[in-house]
Amino acid sequence: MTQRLSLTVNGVGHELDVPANRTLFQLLREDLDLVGAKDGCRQGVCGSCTVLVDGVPIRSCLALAVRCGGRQVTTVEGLAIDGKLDRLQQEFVNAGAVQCGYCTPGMLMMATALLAENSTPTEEEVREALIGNLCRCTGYTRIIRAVLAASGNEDPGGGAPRLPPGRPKEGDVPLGGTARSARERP
Amino acid sequence: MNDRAAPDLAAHLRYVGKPVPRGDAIDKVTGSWIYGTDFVLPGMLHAKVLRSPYPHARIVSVDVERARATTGVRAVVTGAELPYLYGSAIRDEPFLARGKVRYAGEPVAAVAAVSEEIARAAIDLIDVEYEELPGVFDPLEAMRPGSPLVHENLAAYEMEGAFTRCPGTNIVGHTKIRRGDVEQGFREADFVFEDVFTTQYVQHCSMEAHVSIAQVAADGAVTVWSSCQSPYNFLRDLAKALGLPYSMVRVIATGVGGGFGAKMYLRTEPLTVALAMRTGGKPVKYAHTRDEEFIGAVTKHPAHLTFKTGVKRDGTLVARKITAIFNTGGYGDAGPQVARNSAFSGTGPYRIPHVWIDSYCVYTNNPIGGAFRGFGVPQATWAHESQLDMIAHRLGIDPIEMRMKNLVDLGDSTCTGEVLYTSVGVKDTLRRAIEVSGYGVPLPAPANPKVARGRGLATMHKLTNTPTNSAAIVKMHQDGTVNLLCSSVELGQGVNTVFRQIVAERLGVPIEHIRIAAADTHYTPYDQSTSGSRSVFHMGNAMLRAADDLVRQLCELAAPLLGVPIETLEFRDGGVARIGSDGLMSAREIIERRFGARGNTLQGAGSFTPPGATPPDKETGQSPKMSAFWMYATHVADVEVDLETGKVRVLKVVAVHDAGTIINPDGAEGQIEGGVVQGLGATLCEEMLVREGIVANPSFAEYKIPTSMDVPEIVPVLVEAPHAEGPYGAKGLAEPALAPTAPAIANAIFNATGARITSLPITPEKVLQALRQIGK
Repeated sequence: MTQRLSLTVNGVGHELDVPANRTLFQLLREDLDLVGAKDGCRQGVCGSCTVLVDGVPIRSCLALAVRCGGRQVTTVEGLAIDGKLDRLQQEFVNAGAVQCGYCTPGMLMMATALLAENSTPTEEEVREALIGNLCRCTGYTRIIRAVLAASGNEDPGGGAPRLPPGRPKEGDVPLGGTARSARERP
Repeated sequence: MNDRAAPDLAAHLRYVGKPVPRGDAIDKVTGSWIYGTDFVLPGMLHAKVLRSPYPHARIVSVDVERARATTGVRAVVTGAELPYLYGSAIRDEPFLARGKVRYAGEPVAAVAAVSEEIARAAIDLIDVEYEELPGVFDPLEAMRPGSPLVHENLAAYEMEGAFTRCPGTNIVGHTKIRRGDVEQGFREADFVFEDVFTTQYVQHCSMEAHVSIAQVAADGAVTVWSSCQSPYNFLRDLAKALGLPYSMVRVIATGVGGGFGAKMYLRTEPLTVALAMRTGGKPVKYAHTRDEEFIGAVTKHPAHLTFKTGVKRDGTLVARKITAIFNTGGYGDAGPQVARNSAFSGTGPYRIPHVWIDSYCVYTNNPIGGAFRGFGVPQATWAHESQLDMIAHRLGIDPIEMRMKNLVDLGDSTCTGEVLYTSVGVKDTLRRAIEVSGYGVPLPAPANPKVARGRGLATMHKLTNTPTNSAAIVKMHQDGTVNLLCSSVELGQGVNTVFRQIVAERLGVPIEHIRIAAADTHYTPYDQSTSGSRSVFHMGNAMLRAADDLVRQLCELAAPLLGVPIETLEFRDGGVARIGSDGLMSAREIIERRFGARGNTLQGAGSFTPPGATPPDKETGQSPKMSAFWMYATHVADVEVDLETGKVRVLKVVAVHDAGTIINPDGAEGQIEGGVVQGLGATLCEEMLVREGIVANPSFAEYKIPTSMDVPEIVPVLVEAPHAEGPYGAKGLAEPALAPTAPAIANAIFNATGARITSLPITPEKVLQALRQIGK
């Protein structure tokens, strides 16, 4: 038994016939070929499947597609406009916040929601917002740094800073060494 | 041409040593990087697997008729139809269980259907009758005579010559190190201390599970797309198991969402291949669910390590005897290699003249122990760094002084008898760690008297599996732009970018004109494996040789065009010129002029095997050249211990690493940061609870990995001790960051409270118990 569903995904309207038990995750990936939301656990714990529904971050693996009728869904594929990365995406690239990249779409969606609600978060607020997005590769440090950079709030205060100062950009740095990490030849 | 970047050349390097942004970052932040779990093919079927609920049982009967009759099911297969065995060190593992099951979760039957839902429903229709057998779960018990045998046929399996098994027992691997005379050493020592250390089951928890898609052609040729670390390992192991020529097996790496060793050997591939042989050419995809990652993938080996160490009263290490027992579960997988590798690093980076190590890899009816970042070294480091601090305390010697006294230098030997002739930066990592952490300055006292603060450190070393081979092709198009072909796999560690940096530097071709694509054994030449922190060194060297081969070809083509002997030519800035002259003929011009409008590509090929590597003697574990390189690190951890709850909070970790020359500092720091956090998880909050062979917590909800709120300040520091044979002096970095954090934290807890914990993970209960034992 299927239901007719109308919803907008990344600004594009869709009408589909979906079974009542289909998840938003399955709809996005299998019916709309948008595989940006990732399969990490299908139990709503890891956050890899995070998308925005009317701007609210949700676990698409636990959301029934039929409950999204009439809503605006945003996935990671909807962040860049005309091929131009948005600020968050660019800061993730700059900060080295991407390693295997599997958690990255979920992180970006959660961070997008955070910055929409709180445009100048402290480091602690960023950490809290991302607590439901698991990452096994990066240790989170550069992801946090990227979100703070995207907020324009690179000196957040609000508690003991836990991040060492970011790496100077290429061009600021004398050849053969960097200011931050001590690379020396014994 | 110079293979090494001498210190004075560093200033002239354009790409090597620079934080070049990753080439795949844009794909990954836009959701366009395709992982194995995203991969689809037309007509693709979906597989599900029926797994044994019992850890040790005879399979009496398997009835698949109802499953086979289900609408939408295209293939069903059981172990009885698959007379194949696979494995790396030892071929002991069937595609699906045959005769008996050896761990709870072992695959017994598999179904391929037009949808996952139908496959799952069909699995429920398979009836299996088991006869439970007595199981053995504790590896120490498994080693005793009279224990139930996990593999009665251990003697009959094909095993690689480097390893020693004990037929008629559960010991699948026994590695020995015999150096000097350990009993004499104990007699010469002023004190002898014996301590036991244990580590727990840890799960890799890559965010992307194991996944593969297999397709078998009518003539039997096998193609596998896999989220894998080692396409050629997979090729060889499948070809050997199936009795196929290597040319008929093709392995293609998809994007990989994390590996950490879990994806180094076959796991889902035998299942997808077995099903694909029965679907008339239709491809079959199988991805583990998250709970299958816990019970049906591979784990980090729990270890039981007994360290008996003899010292002089001034702290000089004289003798060390180690008995290490690695719990490898129902099948060998990488177990024998892990247990062996742990032995080779077992003493730590110290001078010890008398060493006796027995490292055992033992079968039990538990989940399989496999390759896990560090490959046995985190377990050994937990023991040697904890004990070193314990001994220092017992002797009244400062732990830093004790390390400085015993750490190796150039010219010293390892416990495997190798004289270290290049790149030994360990003492510098220690010195720098002390400096950067402000070691001498005590931590500010906490306001709350029920909380104690302390600081601890740990040093480590690790070798890389040697010898191994890597080959690369540097292909130049007629417009002078370049494609790199190699079978190293980008797991997130950043190798793709590093190889582009190396070739850009060598050829003088702008890095944006150098691209690299996925490993595909039909096109990309041999690489042993993306593991063991070996890729930058081995594949980087292969890339340099391939680039040099390309250069030689360009010079050979240019010589007649320029009308000069080839000896007068050099290659620089992407072109060929007479030595000392300005006029440059670009690669593009050379190719166009030589080959004309028809065009051509040039392919430089290179391959690299570390020079002089010698396999160790099986009785003594000695070899004059055991490892292509040794990696070193020192971590300092600042902790806070709640004396009422036992909870440990890590305030800061300073992680100082010697990985030789650093090709990409952003990537290197990222590896250290990620490794420290993965190590933190294994230290404080991660444990697979396995009771009588059953995993009690097979989910992210019940097995906790660190989140963004759990991460302290991490200060990565890179100390470069260039390696004589490394590309631009580079070694490796991927694994070491995982090892020293655990003992650094245990040493910090001791510093804060006087309580010593010798078993991982360090739970609040263990801390409270240890505090009670010392009367706090």
